[in-house]
Amino acid sequence: MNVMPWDIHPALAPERLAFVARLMRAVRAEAVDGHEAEKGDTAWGLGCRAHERTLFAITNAASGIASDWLSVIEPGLHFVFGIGTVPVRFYRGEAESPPTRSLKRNYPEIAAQRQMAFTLPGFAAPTRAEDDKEYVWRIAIETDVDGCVSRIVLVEVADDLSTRTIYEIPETSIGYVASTEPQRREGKTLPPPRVSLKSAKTTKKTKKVGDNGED
Amino acid sequence: MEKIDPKVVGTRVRIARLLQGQTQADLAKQLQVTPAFVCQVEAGTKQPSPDTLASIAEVLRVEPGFFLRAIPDEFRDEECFFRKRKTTPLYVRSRALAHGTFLTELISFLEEHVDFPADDVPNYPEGSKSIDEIADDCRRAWCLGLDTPIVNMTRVLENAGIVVADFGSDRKVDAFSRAGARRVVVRNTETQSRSRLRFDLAHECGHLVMHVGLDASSLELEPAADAFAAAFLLPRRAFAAEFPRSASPSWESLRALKRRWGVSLSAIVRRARDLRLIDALFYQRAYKQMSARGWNTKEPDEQFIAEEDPELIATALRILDESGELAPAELARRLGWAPTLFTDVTGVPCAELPNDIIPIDRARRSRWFM
Repeated sequence: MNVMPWDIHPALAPERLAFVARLMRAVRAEAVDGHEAEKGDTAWGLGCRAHERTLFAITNAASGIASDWLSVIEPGLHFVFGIGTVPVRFYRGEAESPPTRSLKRNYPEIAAQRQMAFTLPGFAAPTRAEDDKEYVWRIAIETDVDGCVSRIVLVEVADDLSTRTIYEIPETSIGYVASTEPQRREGKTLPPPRVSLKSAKTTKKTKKVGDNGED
Repeated sequence: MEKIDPKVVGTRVRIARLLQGQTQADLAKQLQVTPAFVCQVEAGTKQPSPDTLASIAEVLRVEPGFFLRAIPDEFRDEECFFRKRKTTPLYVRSRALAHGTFLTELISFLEEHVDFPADDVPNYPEGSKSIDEIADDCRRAWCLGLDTPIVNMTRVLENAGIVVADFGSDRKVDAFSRAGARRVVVRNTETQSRSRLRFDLAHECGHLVMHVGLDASSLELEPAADAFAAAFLLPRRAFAAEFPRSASPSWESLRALKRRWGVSLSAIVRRARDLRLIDALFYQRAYKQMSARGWNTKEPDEQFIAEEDPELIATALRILDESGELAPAELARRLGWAPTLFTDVTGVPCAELPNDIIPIDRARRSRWFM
């Protein structure tokens, strides 16, 4: 049985992944639409524009419609965003052959991974230990010859560039994505400390003995 | 006639003098005797005359009979855990210890009349588990959950049978605790910060859970108690889940955490660093910014943290009074404390005895008893 991302971390819910993938598709489609090779636009320019617009779209969603589960962990061109507590980066390329640069991690992502580890049941490390590798979550945007998105894949990439948990995110329409984060619970209000009179107890006991005696 | 033990008198004079924050020279000056005389009385090598003892009693706000009873349980420096022991001057510690000794005498007296909550403090010698695990176990033992803020830290301790009392006289001592017949935590109400007071209590709780039986004067125990306080008030999993996921968390988001968890910003930043949720650079920058904003001495949002008052002693005194068994004034009289002293130690108002009631010690000295 295939392990799905949400089996590993509940924050990676399918509707959230669909939301992010749809955003990426839409942004790239717009960038391709505006691409005019006859006026000198190159593939490099298209890639830059698509990348920057994707950052912009995710940042907007993180501060707006999806603010309860989407966040920006590291802004700037080395962009890292969070789906729930899970840090994710994206790159254009094949899911099964991630480029080395996709593995680069700065401190914010490392800290976010550590933070994610605390939220996992049983304090499992962000990487699973069975193969002794360290994995990170990446979204691969695969494109066709025109630069349009052919598929978007969530993948776990190890430090030796091997991959696992490859999940092709299906195309769906953007709908409302409810938060699946646990509700924050308020603290328990304790009662005041209990203090009782010794004499009351003694009186009670004495009375009881007396009653029994009369019986 | 009751036999007077000079050693007992001397110890009592010393404790009562220290509680008033007086030196031997101060007391000697008020009594118009030499400091050497006071020194000899306290050492038990010289027995003061009844008149001198009466004068000492008046100056130290006690009754002469106070000096005749042996002290049931004296607070000693090496058995009390002091926060900031290194920087707390000896005279401040001595005064705090005297306060603790008075408090213990009151508690023993009260426990003859009332039942306090049973002692329910787990014992986890430091090193038996990680400090985070010990703090989690304490939360479980006291049914506090692992993912919610502590609403009232004082009640947590008092429900576990620990007596919490106030000592508001000098900012040089934060709080101290002792694991005697009844565990006691004394907090300093001169500390204006409510979040700091809560941390102080959690810190002392750490000592009582992990360090019973160890040399309390060891400075090595303090970082462990700090770590316990942070882990108890900010349990790692819930804290990590709620900590903002950003390379540079905003002060607004950290202040929201403070308001929710009732823990100071400096403790939150420190806890985040200990859990590696922020890097060393942000940690340093945060401390510099807090210092520049004057938050080292006065943090924002303290008004959102509920005030916590100790309830155990006040409740015991109230039910004794309401039941007609023992009014505070009568209790003060039996302890041999002046009403003002009683109020200082307990925080509970104590009315003066009516003029037509003569303390028994004074009556004994009068001719009616000759």
